Amino acid sequence: MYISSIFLKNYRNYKKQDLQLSPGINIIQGANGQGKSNFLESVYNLCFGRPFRGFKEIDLVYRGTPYYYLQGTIYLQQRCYKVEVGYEIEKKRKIFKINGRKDRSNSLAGRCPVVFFVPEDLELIRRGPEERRRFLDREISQIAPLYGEYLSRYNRVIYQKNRALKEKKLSRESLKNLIKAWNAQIIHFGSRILQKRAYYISAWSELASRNFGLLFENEQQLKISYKSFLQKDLLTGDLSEIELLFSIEIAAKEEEEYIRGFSIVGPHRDDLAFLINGCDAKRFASHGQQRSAVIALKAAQIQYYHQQEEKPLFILDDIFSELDEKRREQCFELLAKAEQIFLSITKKEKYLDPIFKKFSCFSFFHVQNGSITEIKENGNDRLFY
Amino acid sequence: MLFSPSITRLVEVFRRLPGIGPKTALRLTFFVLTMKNEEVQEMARALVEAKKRVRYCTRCRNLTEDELCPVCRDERRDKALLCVVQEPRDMMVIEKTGQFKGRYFILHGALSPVEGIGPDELMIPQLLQLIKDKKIEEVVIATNPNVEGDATAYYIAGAAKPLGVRVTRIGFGLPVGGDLEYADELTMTRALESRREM
Repeated sequence: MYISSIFLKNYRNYKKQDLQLSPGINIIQGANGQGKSNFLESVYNLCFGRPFRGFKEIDLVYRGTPYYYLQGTIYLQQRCYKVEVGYEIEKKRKIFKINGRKDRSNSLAGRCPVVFFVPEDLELIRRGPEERRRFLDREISQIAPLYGEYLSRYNRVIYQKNRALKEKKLSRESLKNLIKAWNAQIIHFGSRILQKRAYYISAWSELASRNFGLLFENEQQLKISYKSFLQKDLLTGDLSEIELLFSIEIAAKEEEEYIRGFSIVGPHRDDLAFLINGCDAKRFASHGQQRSAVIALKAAQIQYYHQQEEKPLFILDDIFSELDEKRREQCFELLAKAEQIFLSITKKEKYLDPIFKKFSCFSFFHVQNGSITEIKENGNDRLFY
Repeated sequence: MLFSPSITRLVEVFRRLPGIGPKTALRLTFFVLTMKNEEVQEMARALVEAKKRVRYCTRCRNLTEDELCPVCRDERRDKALLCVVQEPRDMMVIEKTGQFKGRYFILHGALSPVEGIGPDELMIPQLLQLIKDKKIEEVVIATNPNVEGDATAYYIAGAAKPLGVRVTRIGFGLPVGGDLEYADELTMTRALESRREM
């Protein structure tokens, strides 16, 4: 998959920007605060029809203007799509069109193989379980079409049930029946979430282990696994079996839920575990190892897409300045697996040279204060120095 | 202040109605001011009288001006069949089909602990009493197919089944006359789950 052109109107700090993109690597260079990330996020927004990681639509609109609008040409599965995304503040109206026709905003999502890599991802292992769940949910809903729907319904049910558990005025008997009514849906949606998470984690884990092994000459082993409340191989069980085990588990903790006043059984409490040489990486691995494990996982995501017969689009937001030499090289390896790359950098550095040697076609852009200019020179070698 | 206190007050009153924003409220206000005196009085009377006269049917909680609503008064209705809906307008949609011969029970909402709506607020104890007293044989649950509607359906089913009544849920699936390709994934999934033998 790749994007051949993009047009931004009133998006973040871009008033108006029209760009022809390289199908290979696109480097966006600029000082901090000039709009590098905003531009990369617009690429994400175009592919998925929704803002990048928790941004609100209204915050994407250039201050003082009534709307934002993005347009781009996406090549996917040998077909060309003209995609338009926009948001009007006053009408609170979201616009999403494919080839000029209105579309539900997630119809391309689930088909766009996009991997986004920002420096904060490197700290995934150090962070809390909710960060890792957020990572899982975000990445899986990109691939599995129904996952996002299940997740939002699941979260809604948990929200309602938690409130019901705090209910004081009902008799124990009616409260019990009420909780059962919510549990039915927790089991329904939760089992589907569990199954999808287990499937993707296992697919990624296998690839990530190999990546990690290569980096450390097989002296160190990485295993990524799903740490779930359900003590069961979620991969082999069919849905009805998972639902059954889930319902047994939830019934067993019923009393405890009344006492504690919130839902304690379900995938909303699960975690993603990273083990290096059999030890919990969060507690025992060095900072460098932890970061390598995350890169190995990112690489696995790219490879997974690669296996699905569509080369992915890879977006790296100022990653290299954060990494030491070893991990930089680890990252360079990944780039070859992607079809199109967006890479933002603050400065032209010597260590970036190998990247440019890898790609036959690339474009170099300079960002300053919400305006992007393409810098054209003859021959790749002279581009930088 | 841009407008007189009376105008501001009227705008505020209109804004309390669902679906009315500040602009529409202002438009309605100005329109009312151009209306004839009698018309405005008639409108005010209609509001007050509707509010005064309309009440809930004592049996099914439909809106009516009498003790029982027309459906509950209709003796030709199947007395053993009861359909549970969330809103009076849901009942109207089912009535329009002419396919349902039983009676109704209107919940006026769905379970939502977050909004403080529990079984008592929906008069579910009254519903269960009705099932017992009127010897209902089948309860058709037609609450909305969303998180709250489904939870309500589960709750009612759980409470009604011990009474020995048959409980069914209306089917979900594709809109008739539409194309498969326009169905969203969740609807399609549900349609597949509730497929039936031919």
